[in-house]
Amino acid sequence: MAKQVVKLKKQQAHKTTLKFGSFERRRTIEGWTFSIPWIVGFIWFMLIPLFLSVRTSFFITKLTDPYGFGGESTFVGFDNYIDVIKDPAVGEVVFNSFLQSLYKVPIVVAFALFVAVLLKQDFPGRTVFRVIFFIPVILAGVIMAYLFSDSIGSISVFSGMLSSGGMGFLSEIMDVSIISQIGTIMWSSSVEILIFLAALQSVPIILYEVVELDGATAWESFWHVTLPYISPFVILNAIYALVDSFVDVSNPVMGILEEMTSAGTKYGMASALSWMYMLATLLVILIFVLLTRRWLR
Amino acid sequence: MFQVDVDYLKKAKKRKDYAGRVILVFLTIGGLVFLLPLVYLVCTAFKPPEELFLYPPRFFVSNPTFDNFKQLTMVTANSLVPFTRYLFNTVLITVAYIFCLVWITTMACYPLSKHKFPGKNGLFKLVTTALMFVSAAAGIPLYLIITSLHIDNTYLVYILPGLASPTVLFLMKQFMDQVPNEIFEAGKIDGASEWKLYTEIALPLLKNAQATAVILTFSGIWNESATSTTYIYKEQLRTLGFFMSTIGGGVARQGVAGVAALIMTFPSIIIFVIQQSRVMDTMAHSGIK
Repeated sequence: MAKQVVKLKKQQAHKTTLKFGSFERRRTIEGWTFSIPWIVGFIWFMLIPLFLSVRTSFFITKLTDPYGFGGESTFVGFDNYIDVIKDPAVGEVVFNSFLQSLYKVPIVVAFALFVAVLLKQDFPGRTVFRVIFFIPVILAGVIMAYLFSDSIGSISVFSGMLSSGGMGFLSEIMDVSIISQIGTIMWSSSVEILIFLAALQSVPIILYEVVELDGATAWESFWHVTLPYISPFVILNAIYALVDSFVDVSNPVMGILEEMTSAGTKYGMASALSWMYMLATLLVILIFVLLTRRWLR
Repeated sequence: MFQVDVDYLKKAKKRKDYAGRVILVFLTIGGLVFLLPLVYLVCTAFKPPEELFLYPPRFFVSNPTFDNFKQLTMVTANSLVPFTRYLFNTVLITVAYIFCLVWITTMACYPLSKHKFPGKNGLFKLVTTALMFVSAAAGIPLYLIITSLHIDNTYLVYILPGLASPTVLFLMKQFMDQVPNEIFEAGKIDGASEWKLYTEIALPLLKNAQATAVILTFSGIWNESATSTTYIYKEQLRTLGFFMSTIGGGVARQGVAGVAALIMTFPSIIIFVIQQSRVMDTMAHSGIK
């Protein structure tokens, strides 16, 4: 008993020195020094622009005074937000893009999980397949724009190849746009496949050995070992896919934003729309997390 | 003591082979879908003009030619600035950007993962929320900040704005979490300074995470063209990506644009093939737990 008290006192003493001693302070300084380059860049090129865009969203702005500091722009309160909500065209596009995400996300996640499970198996040429499924990440930027643009001559790849040439028969059986959409969805699941692969590799092999000894089939061990074990990653991937489809450049909402900003006078409205959109996205993710929380380990 | 059931083992092996074949079939079908755009890219590069404008468009090329390549050399020979200048710019920007990015994020992830200091949790929460920011919202303020810093029309405009990437920091931090604390404690007992711990222990251990960061960011910066259009007025400072995107401007040059896109893709693929085993490794270890 006495020993314990002494031990406790020692611990307390240790704690207090940690709190007020130089060690803690030095660690703080070190911690912040190491992260400062990143933090400065983050504040300067992300937080400040974001803050300014919040401010812009409450003004009807002029080009010479985009944030309303100079007094040339007029403060309108929530008028921009109300205007955006009232605009039927915007509402429809936003609603549609949310609806699209709702059916896209499950497909992406299921497909990614399926492919990841297959890619995890040991078979000849595994590396080649892994590289192939990662191609979309490699082909970024200009090339993606080139491939998926619908301009004359370079028609969108998936619809292009299906409506034509070698696979013309497919377009007769099915609606081409559906196939091209499936193709695009599959294509946007690269990162998810990678995350699932990583998750699958983190499942201890012992578990599989145990259930195999108990006579479980591969099918059973997938549902009772693999899936429960990687369920946090399923949710992570779903969130990733959600965010990805919300902020994707090909999302029509992004098109509206671009249109508003390029018009020159609607910065306020554009900012209001993008903030509402972001908050709505966060709300969807929050609801999703709350719904799926009980599956998290 | 144990009798190995040879028959059972044989059966099990056979079953596995059968499963392997099914897997291969599925993966081949899926893989084809992922390969199609690349194949299409290659085909377009070799298409003669009359095939490019067929309606409905054809996927495969039937009379491959090198005409588009010849045209590309002609276009590049007549450009305002020598082609090599664009190439030099792009290589310089890519190397500088990736070097700085890796340096800054590894440095930030080290204390975030291994130190306890006030404000750390808040900082990390900020990083995770930042993953969801709609960057389009900040487009105009960002433009004004860049012009007010007077870094437009310099190489810096390519490098600075994208350096603080929440995605890469998040990945690095997850990887750093997997490194046992004992290694750093051992280093500290041996009298290493924090800087030394970072350069001698953290950096080598993060090699795989670095490779991942390189792959994830390489193609973005290598194909960079938006910055060139928005912030750069001097032709000498523009990038290869920008030049390639101007080539495809006219309808008449669709084939040349295809060749350009194909050429732009190659470095990304090479980088990926070189680094891929490391990436798979990282993803396995980082585990994002």
